[in-house]
Amino acid sequence: MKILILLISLCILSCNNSPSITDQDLDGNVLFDPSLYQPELFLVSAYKPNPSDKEKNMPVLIAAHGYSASTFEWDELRKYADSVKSGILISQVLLGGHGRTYQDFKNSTWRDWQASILNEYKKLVQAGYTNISFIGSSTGCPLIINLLYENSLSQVPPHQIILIDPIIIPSNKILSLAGIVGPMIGYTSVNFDSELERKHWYRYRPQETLQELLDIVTVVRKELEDGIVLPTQTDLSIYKSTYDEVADRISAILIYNGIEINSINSKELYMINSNIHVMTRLQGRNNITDNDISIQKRIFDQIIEKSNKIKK
Amino acid sequence: MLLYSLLLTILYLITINITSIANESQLSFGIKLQKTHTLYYENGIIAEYSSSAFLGNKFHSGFSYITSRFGSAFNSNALKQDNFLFHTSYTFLEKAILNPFIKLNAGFIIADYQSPLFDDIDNTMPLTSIDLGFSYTPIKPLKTQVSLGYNIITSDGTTGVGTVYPLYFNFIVMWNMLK
Repeated sequence: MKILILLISLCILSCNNSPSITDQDLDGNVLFDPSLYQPELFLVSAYKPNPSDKEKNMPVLIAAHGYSASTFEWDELRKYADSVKSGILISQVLLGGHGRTYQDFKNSTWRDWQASILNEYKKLVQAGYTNISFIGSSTGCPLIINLLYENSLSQVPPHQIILIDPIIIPSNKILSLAGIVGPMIGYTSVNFDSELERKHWYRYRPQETLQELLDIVTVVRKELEDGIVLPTQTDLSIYKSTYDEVADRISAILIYNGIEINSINSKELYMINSNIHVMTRLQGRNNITDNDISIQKRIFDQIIEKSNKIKK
Repeated sequence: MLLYSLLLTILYLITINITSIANESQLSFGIKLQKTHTLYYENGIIAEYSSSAFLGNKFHSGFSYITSRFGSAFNSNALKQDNFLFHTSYTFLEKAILNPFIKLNAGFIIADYQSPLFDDIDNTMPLTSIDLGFSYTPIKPLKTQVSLGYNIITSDGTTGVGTVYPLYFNFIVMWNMLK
């Protein structure tokens, strides 16, 4: 009987679905992603909606961030690309439901997250851009792979698909129980390394969004099992940290084996001896080493080189 | 890994030795179907032995092999992986129509990543799990089992095989060869 009372009490306590959000958290009603106020600073479609003939052929990289993150995740790449005068334009897309409020996040689905990527692509195509590539980090990757599988990028096939620590299999296997445990816990929370992370990532993760996350990785895993054939114009590059505590390294294996190429395009895999999830974002992290900075620079250089690659 | 497998084999042989003393034994062979929650179908074979002289046929021990090759990886790009498991189980309410049981499994998994690019990634890890379920015998010597299992050891993304998820469901059909 005591156990029964304890279980009922736990259930009642666990059904308290409202986290204590402060104004210093991105989840609150004060901080929002800056791309919502000034899209022209983040989206090429807003910055150059009417490109010249020369600009239409410039490489444009659509950058999709990960689950619970925001456009900040690709700030370092854009700053680096600008600093070395890379000649590429970068669209830092804010995924639907992200960078807003906890409730917006809670109400969003992975289709909402993905819609921002597709919208930017469609706007760029409509504006006449011809050299479009995609880069994704973590959950941004399955969202892009799903677009490939559904043939949504066929109007102007991407030149490059670059995946940074893609998640297909989560490192924390408890995510697979999100549909069972989620309704009992309501939400989960994370601890940040810095105030900077606090401003740019959601602290609280509603269980509904964890279920959406599980849904998109499951959907894309099955699509990879079916096999996805890359368009002949598209090259694929996968970068994966070997000791990643968010996205299991086996994700890279499933993508590598699940995406097929032909004799014209290429498929490259780079396993990185690191425990950092999404090496392309180092700002706001603790204990960054010179080696991490060096690896990040090498990846950025390769991204720029790939994006500028001229195809026959 | 080798030591772990050896220990399990010795335990298994001891178990077989004890149960073979009995007068009425059951030696069953069958098929095992497994669905990991939100992941793969893996199917294969199972063998099980028990004796009425040892805990009145309530105690079973056996071995199973299941693989995604006969499941999700059949004609697809799903990961090809093989699971080798020894198990011991104890059945309650043996005379009821549905017989609840608890089963402990131990063994290992080997994954085939299909490319030397992944040679540095662990392709094997030990498995330890517990099953709770029911046995049902519609017609002797046929026996069926359904169970819900939980993998106590899973990969954390930095070691082991990433496709070892916690929750799975089993369906087993066995035929007793000694009846």
